[in-house]
Amino acid sequence: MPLRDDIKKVLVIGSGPIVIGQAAEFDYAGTQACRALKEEGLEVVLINSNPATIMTDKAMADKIYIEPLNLEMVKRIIEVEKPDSVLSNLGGQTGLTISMQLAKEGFLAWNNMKLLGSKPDTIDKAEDRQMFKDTMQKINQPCIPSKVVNTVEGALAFAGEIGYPVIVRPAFTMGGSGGGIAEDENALEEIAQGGLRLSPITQVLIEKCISGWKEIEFEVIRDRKGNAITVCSMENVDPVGVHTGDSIVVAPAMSLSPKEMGMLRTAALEIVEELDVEGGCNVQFALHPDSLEYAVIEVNPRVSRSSALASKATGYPIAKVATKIAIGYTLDEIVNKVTGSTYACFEPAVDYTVLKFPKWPFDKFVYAKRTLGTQMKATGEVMSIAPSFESALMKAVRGIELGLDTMNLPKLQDKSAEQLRELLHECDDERLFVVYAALKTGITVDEIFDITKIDRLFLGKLLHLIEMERALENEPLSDELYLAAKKLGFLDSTIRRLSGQEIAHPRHASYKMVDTCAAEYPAETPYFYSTFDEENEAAEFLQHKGSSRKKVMVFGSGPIRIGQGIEFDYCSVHCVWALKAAGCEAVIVNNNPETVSTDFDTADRLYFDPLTAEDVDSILETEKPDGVVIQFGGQTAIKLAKYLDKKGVPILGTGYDSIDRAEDRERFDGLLGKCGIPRPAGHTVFTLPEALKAAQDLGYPVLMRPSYVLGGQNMIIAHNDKDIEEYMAVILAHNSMENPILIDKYLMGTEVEVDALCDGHDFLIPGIMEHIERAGVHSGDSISVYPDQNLSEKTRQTIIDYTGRLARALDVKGLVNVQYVVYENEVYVIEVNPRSSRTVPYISKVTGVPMVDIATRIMLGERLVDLGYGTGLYKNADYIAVKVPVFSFEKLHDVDTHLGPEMKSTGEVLGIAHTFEEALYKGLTAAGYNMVRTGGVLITVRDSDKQEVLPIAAKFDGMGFDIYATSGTAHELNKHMVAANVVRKIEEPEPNIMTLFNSGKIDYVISTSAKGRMPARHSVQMRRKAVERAIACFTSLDTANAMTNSLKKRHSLKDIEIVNICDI
Amino acid sequence: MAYLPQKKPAWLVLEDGRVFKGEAFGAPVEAAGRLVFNTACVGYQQLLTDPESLGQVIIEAFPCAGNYGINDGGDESSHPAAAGFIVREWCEAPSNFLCTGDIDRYLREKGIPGLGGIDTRALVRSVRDGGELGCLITQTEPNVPAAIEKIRAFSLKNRINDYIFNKKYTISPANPQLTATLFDFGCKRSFLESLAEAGFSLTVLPFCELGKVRTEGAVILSGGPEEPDCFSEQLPALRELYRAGNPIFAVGLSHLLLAQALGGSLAVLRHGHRGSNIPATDKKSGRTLITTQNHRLYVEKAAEGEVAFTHAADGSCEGIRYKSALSVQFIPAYERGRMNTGDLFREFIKML
Repeated sequence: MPLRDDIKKVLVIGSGPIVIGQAAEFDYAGTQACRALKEEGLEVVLINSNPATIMTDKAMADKIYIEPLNLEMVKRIIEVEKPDSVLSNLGGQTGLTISMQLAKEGFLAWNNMKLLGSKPDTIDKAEDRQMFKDTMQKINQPCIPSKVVNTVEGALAFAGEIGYPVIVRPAFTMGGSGGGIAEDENALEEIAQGGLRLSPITQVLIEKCISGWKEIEFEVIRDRKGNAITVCSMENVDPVGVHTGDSIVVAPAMSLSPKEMGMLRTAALEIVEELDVEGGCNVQFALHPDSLEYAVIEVNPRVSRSSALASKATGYPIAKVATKIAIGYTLDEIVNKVTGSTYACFEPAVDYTVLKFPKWPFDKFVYAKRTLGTQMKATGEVMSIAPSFESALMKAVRGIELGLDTMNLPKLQDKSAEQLRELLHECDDERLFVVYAALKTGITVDEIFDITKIDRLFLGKLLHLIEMERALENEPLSDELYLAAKKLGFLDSTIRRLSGQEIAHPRHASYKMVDTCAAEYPAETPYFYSTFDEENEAAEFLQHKGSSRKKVMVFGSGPIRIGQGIEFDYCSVHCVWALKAAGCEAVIVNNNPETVSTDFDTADRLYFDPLTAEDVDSILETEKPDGVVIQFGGQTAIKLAKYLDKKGVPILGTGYDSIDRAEDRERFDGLLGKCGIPRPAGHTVFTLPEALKAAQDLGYPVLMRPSYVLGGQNMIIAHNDKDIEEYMAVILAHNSMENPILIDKYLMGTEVEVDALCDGHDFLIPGIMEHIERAGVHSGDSISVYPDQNLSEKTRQTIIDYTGRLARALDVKGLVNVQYVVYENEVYVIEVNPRSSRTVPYISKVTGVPMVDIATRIMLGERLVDLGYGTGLYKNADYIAVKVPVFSFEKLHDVDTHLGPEMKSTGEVLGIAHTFEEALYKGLTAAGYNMVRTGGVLITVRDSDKQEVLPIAAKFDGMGFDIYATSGTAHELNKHMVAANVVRKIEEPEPNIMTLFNSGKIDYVISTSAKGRMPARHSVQMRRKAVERAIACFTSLDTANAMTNSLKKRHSLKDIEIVNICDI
Repeated sequence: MAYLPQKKPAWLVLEDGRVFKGEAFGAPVEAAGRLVFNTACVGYQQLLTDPESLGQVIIEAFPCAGNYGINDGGDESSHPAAAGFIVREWCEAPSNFLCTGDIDRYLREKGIPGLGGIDTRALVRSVRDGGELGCLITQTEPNVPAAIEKIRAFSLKNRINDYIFNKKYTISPANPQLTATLFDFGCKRSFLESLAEAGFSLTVLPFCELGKVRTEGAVILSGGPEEPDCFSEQLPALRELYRAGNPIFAVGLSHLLLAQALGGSLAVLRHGHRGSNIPATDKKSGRTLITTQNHRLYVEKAAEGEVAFTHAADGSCEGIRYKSALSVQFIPAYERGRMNTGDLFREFIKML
């Protein structure tokens, strides 16, 4: 039946800022949804606080509100826009929760709005624990047996019924504390006793411990007629116990027999039938490894990270189909664009293996607890497609950018079998590498299975890789051995290194197509992956579709990580669109399954492969593009510059030499000298003695960091020699000796950031951004304001002038990002990045200057003056935009929340308004701050901040807050007539800060330390406790100051203006 | 010392003269058959022993065969049916609690030759575009003209005659609700299990018994190897049975035979429907079922009855509802849930 004609204007609720657990996958899903709706001729109104997404882009929707994502704002927007329906299931948990609240309150009914996507009933049955259990019971679907008890006897009795081991989960304690796994009666008695004591309501949940069972997921789609199909099955290589987001996953499930597969598939279909799902649904099962016993772990009746993975793995666009279903189509009416001859009502068949490998932030957060458990910690992931598991794993290992080309982790190379055996018990991000090392030392598959419960199938495949390594190390490198190695995923450089021999007949990869049907139907999906077979379907495709258009290849930014996130995908996708608009053929290379860039619909062709030089080399051989673009893929693409230059591939836009001039310290200094631009004094060093000398030379404090990085990785402010020693050790552990370490004088001034466009001759600055936090806090972690608010005209002109000089001197063709510090009325350059930066998306949106499009046209040869935006500083927008960073600290245990030069935020939100205060208020609200105007504030700052904090404390005092402070700070406050209650530090006996936190009296914390980072430090612990209790904690006085100013203005969401950015 | 196992070569010769070289595994015998491809990612054991696979040299599209090894109870019949098995890679270290051995040993025991190390996707594409040609698997370097002769000499009819469908027996489940007579044209074991689960107590007769004695009550006609000509002698008996008004449930091959018996005509699909993801839409309810299929013929025109199910993509007939019979192209399984094919059993039971 055709589309319902009672739907004309749909409100789509997005998922907000990127946080661990709810990230880029929703930009992809949301973008597909908007597209699907617009295809049907519907009007789309979008609300999403995240300015970095492709979804919040004028091309995607008719009205876009980048506003705080909460009930109040959504209601106001509904009142203004009067949509007739709301789409609930494409905005992650956020979108779902808001939609459900609107429905339950009767707001939707009152406004004659339809709820599309998930129904409230469906959601309740899936999320409410008791209802879920009841529903599963009704359809005979086993859940994990569990019972709530209040006594030790009760615990023992239930455990007796269900069998050991059991998990004890105390009610209302934090982070699972007081609980644990009990292997037998004695252990249970002890743990239950402790748990009951710790629980404020003397209650624990006793749950059967199924860690070690296989974890299998299905992505299901169902329509209103009841047609249901499973799109994809997935098996976690790590068994139950590790969050699926933190697991290595294969699709389809590989170790299941037809009986098990059929059983779980039927169960999944029954569950979605009972829940009456209309759209997509993720079902997770635990399957006993030695029997047919299984349990339903959880059901998510919405699109998710898994559905993004399943969509990319099979080529079946789940979010798009789910949206069409939401507006009334049935699966048999939706055409499968991939084949053109089949419909969405079929189950994809695959003739390759897909592997997903998570990207963790531990290379950045060296003190974080790396243990993986039920709370997700990964920031992103890569996916790899290959004809074998081994090859897919090798591709993934290259793709996660840890500098590895095999499963050998350098730090494990010297460990003995005994040590490895111990490490096998640790479940953390390095476990699969530990397994590999253990297998190499001769520990048996059976033993490893016993400890880790990783299926022997996968262990056997790791053994294959080890056997191949041994063969390469010991046998003559025949053509046959070489080809076998290539088919297992070994790079030429690896083969050469392991064998010590030259390769007689090196081969390039050939490409096969992802077509949803295992070649059953002819398809012309331009979606390819590399193999070492003879047949090259990409080459065939090119022959068929031969076009005379100019061909440009764009390199993507790989997995999402702190410092290189979705902003770069925004840029890559916009570049592709601009290329197409300019009449070029656009080819994209990327391996991130969560993003819009890897939707095969985006570019003219997609190569889903790792972004190493060798992998790219084969793609270049097949495609032979007229030019390549490396400006939009963050550091991942920039790293290819040297190789591309050497190979003679035309790089469109700023060339390799310019890139090197910006990144090589000596050359950069020379450049600045030539331009007459000052920068903080600095040195390049390679060793500790050199570092100490440099620091003493410059005078403390100094800024230390490795060169060629993004996100300030391992960037630190050192205050004395000991700091230098500590931090050199950390940096050297993570960086090869090729790249030097930079030590600069730290100037504590205002940070200003500029993105500029240049065609080698003229330049254009869409806007100047000023940071609220002073220099020393990474720009990605700072609250950034556009247009600048506090710069003098002279400073502004200097900045414009310097930017122009730099852009021209570097011969920038495209984008360049410059970071300045304004110190004592002088402007200094901190760094220059000859590529797009993470601020490009939001600045483009609030200024109305389509930066990536302009940059692309420049790269194709157009002149800036012809493009209609003028040159120099673009006129200020009518609006003020405040970008506020968002953190995921509650997910990363032991990570110090103190802001510093190393970036920590995972995402951002935007507040737009006509006045700065309103914009700031919106931004802070969107970021999740509660903005309460009464309550308590805890202030404990380092000596150097004690004077500066006084006015801030006074403002809180003036608003009626109760002020608490530790002794040193309290003394200062009281001395200056700000009444402060003294509270004992966390390491002192109770009552102390912890008592205060637990009492609920504290709403804000201001905490700055001279030292931080190490989890053992009390200040770090205190900040961690604040995070755990969701208490806002400011580690920069500038942020605290901005907050108090905002609070004082007494804004409220009820009357604050709402802005449709499509009007800008 | 070699770290990788040495692999013996084997070859695939196609009727049109093309030769593919790969690695030998399974039984070291030569075999000819029809080259087909199957897109299911699990179920190779069932496929290799399903009478529907008789005489087929099967290409598994999924790149790794044998991950979960061989399972007890996974055989669809006690005889090997497939003529050969072609894979990209076969798993030498399978893992599953039901695993009793690897696929190499199994094929050896069943006398089925295997060919590994093949770019199966390329081969599948050629079968899709060029048709299901005759072929030969051999472990000695082939002389192409001689091989082609052997291919041409292959006849499924001969194989069917060697295949034994002459058993007569009864099956009684724990709580039989209904009785029926099943005529065995090459019935797969799991179909019998489904019927038992559905509550049927069965008298199983070889297909050649059709018409020899008057059969009362419900009749179930099984699937079998896809060579209708071999069963043309049974067509008159089928017609009579239908006219006599016995409730009939026909699946797979029998669906084709019943249609033929009643005057319908058959045709060949462009390429066979062989996999576990084949969508068949029920024209009455509008719902689409996901089915497992393995056939290349279909009922082009039904002389009697109404076309009940069609393939969601190419519209070919997947099932017919007659006055007193229900026949489907695929072999249904008695699974729970409305999304699977269990409803067909329930529909037939209602007819009784």
